[in-house]
Amino acid sequence: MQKIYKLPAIIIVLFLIVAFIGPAFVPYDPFSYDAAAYLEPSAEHWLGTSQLGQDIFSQLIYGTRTSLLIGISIAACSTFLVVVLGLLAGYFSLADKVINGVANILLVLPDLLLILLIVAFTGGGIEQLIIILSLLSWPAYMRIVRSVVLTLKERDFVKASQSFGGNHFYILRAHILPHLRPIVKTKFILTCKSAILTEAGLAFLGLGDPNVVSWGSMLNVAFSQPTIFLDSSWVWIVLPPVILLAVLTLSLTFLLEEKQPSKVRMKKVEIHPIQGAEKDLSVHQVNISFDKKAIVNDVSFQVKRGEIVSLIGPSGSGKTTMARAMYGLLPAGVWSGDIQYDGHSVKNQDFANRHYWKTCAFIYQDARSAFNPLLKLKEQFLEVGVTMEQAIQAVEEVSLSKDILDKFPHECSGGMLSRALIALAFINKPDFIIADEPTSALDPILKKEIVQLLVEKVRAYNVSLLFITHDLDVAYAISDRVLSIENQHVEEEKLCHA
Amino acid sequence: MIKKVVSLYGFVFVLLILLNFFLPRLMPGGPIEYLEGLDSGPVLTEEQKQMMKEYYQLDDSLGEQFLNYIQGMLTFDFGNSFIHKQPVTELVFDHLPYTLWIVGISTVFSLALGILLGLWSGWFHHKHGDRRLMLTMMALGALPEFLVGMILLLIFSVYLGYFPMSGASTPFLNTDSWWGVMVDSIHHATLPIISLTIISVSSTYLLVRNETIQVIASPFIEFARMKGIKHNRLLYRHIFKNALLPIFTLMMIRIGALFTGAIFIEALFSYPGIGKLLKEAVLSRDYPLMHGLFFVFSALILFFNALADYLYPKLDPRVKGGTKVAKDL
Amino acid sequence: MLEVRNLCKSFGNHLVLKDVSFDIRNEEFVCLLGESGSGKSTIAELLMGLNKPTQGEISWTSDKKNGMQYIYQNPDRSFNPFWTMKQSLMEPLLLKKHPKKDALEKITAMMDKAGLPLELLKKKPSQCSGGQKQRMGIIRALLCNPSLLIADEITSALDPQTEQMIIHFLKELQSSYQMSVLYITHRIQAIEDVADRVLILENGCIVESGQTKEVLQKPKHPYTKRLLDACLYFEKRKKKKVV
Repeated sequence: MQKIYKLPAIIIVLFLIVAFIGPAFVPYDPFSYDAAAYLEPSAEHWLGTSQLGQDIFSQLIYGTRTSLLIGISIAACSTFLVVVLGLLAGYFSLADKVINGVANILLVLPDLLLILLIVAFTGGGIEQLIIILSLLSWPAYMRIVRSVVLTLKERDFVKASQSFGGNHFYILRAHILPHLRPIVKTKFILTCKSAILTEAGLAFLGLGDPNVVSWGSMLNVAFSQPTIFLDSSWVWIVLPPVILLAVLTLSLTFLLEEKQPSKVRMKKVEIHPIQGAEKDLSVHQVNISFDKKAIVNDVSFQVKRGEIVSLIGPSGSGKTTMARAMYGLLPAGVWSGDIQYDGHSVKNQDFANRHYWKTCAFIYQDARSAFNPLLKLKEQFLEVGVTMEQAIQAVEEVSLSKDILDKFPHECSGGMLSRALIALAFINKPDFIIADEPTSALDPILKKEIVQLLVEKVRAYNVSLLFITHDLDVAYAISDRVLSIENQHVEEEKLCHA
Repeated sequence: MIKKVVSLYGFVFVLLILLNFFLPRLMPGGPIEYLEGLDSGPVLTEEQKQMMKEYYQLDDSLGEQFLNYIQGMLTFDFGNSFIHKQPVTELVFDHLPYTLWIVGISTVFSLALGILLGLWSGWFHHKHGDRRLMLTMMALGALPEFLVGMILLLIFSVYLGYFPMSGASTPFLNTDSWWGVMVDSIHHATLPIISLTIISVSSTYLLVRNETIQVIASPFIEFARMKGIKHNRLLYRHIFKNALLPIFTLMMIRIGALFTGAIFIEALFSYPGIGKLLKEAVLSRDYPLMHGLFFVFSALILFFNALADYLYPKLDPRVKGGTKVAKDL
Repeated sequence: MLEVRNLCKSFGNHLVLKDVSFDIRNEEFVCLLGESGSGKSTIAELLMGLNKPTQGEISWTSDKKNGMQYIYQNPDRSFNPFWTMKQSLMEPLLLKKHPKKDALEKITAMMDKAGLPLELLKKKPSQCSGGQKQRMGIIRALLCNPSLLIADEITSALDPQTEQMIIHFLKELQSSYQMSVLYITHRIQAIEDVADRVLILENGCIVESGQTKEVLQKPKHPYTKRLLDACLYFEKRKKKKVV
């Protein structure tokens, strides 16, 4: 199965070999009319002859050379333009105005019409085609390179290098160019493909260069004589160029495709009740590991009704992974053990349907990204199954005006969204709430207000709160118990009330 | 916004019109001698040369030629076709319906199919069906118009004989009922429409799939799942709406691209639309006809692209009315 | 060393800085405290010369302007991801035409001082932790012997323990290199014992400035009071750990 991903590369290498050395070994001149027309394939003419008496096999080999020559030369010119113009446009704002302006116009120009127009007036030689297509095909990728350069230019390591006295040429070469490698590769292959196809298409329409043999011109000759479809001669006249063109195109398309990692299959799970935890949120012997790297090891703890428990630890210690596991969001393959809310396991297939936003609710890390940007807040409140009156009451309880429900998320400030998120979490009066770093993006004054609000509501509704944070001050201030996660283990820290 | 779109596309349109005027006249020796001198161009007959001379009025001053050119365009008078001996405008209007019909139908088909399959594929991302479908679509999208058409033609007309090889109707059709005429024309249009649909469907599909996967991976969808929202509502209200936003732009651009694709497909199936007409005009250097068709094609393609550029920002509430996304926290 | 007088900066119609004036003296550790959107980073950009002020002036008492360095907020972004740490650290010295051997010696000495293992030099940025990268960022800035170091929120992406370590490393270097530091942050807790002076910024205005102890213990401006109250709110309510 792995090998199939190497197939396109192998095919393209074969095509290249044929294109470069093939014509030296070809038995006939592709233009000679010596043989009789419509000869069937034989030892002398491997693929027979066309209606003009030309040897099809020889024509195919020469056609391969034409196609690849055109593809590679246009791709090379166009890629060169993309890199140079993209670097200039992205780095120097003066050059940007000119280059981007020209690019905008070229992008809008209907390519094929323009080519047809030029070919009609100039005759359509192969050199003209190479020049026209190179000049027309740079804008799209130039824009990509330009935007990459524009972001790279603002990156700290580039600014640092500028402050150390690196000149423009040095920065473009040392810091920016290496980032463009994947773009250049893709651009080269795609342009190569589209150039080959454009040439074939034009030649098929009869607008190719009559001095070279190409697959497109072979098809043009074949289709000008519909009688070939009456007997079987189309099999050797039409089919070979069609197949070669299709194989080359597909190989170029799939050249960049890679094998996707296979997914772990879902396994059936057995669920056992956890002893003495029928009324709590209990975490029982949980192990989590990604790609054989352990995140947490044998973690067990409980959160009792009405308790505020904080889970703290340095960044990268697996706090957020733990939060996701506790809400039943991790795929079954990466973790073992069990997590139960009042005896209902998150491993149950219908846990989400029966308990999300009823038994348990979640406060998302960043309030702005938690709301769907295209739906009004009203809709995002009502969809958890509450009435309009309840929604209004909920937002008013977190001291927001009810007008906020008619707004889109982008019309609200971050503080308003944080409050709205808390209102939403408590709206169905759940028994358990998990809050995943709800304060990490907030400024001190707002943070104080939001945490106060959260604690006040937890106490008022007698909800259990698992508060995940790296802010030790907050954790030690509001919690009944603090769990610290470090080196894959969870330790409980004993607190005394001051 | 509208100003920007109009000025860009208007500028490009003017550029194309000027190019059409100046290109033949700037060729060394003028359009006729230049073509004659080429070893790669077509062979011109005496009659053709005579007609060209008349058409271009090369003896007049450049200013007069240009005035005539603009005047002709404003009055939609592009002169008489060399080979058809008929006013160009008449020819274009005779053949335009054929192209509009196959392009219109395949736009609808390819959009419907592309959107449905794309959403399905994105929703079942990481399942085997998705991967297979995506590779198939990539393969279809990679092939050029004429090759797809050719493969269909070889299989369904030549080998199996299900569909006619060329034309838009059977000559001397032995029926008087409108029903028989309709069946016959559908029969002829099937392969061209299927070819155009296949070419177009993959880009719609890939875009919708990509958008769907991105939307599904975004935090607000994860949060919506956490809210325990029912499967259907999640799919329709949250995912579709967000994933389909960029489709409008694509749709317009696809229509533009389909018109160019129609040139190849009509040439291949000898389907009497304006695409085939354009190919013949270019091949035989029927300059008046070329000029008229060129005008129609550029106007159509540029119009749909401009519409896409203009409409897109209006569909996204985040950009609507120029209000910026509030970034404060 | 540095005098800033009546500095104003606006982007379009939006006035970001309003009449900001302050000094930084030699070998001083000054902290600029403010919430996001208060204009902290704009001040840093103006000092670095990346932007021109709309009004006001920045004057240097000696020609120390060249001796200024900037440390970036996010250590993940301040190194070229394709280069090893050694290449990145050598860059400023090689651009100033130092011989390669001297440069390497200098870097090795600094790494020792920072308590960083030398193996890190062979690694790419993605293989080092945030705290390690931020210390190497400081090292890279110091290789140019700056007389003023601007540290813009350099610990906001790190956890509190690492933050303390970085700040103390910076304080230590400040005295041994005899340079001034402008430390920009929104967290008061972190700088209490290291900063000599503190400037409080609200909506583009400096509302209060003075010796760190004075400002923190007897804030005069209502905003300072509110900010301090919010910053210290949880710290005061902290429950004690029983060991």
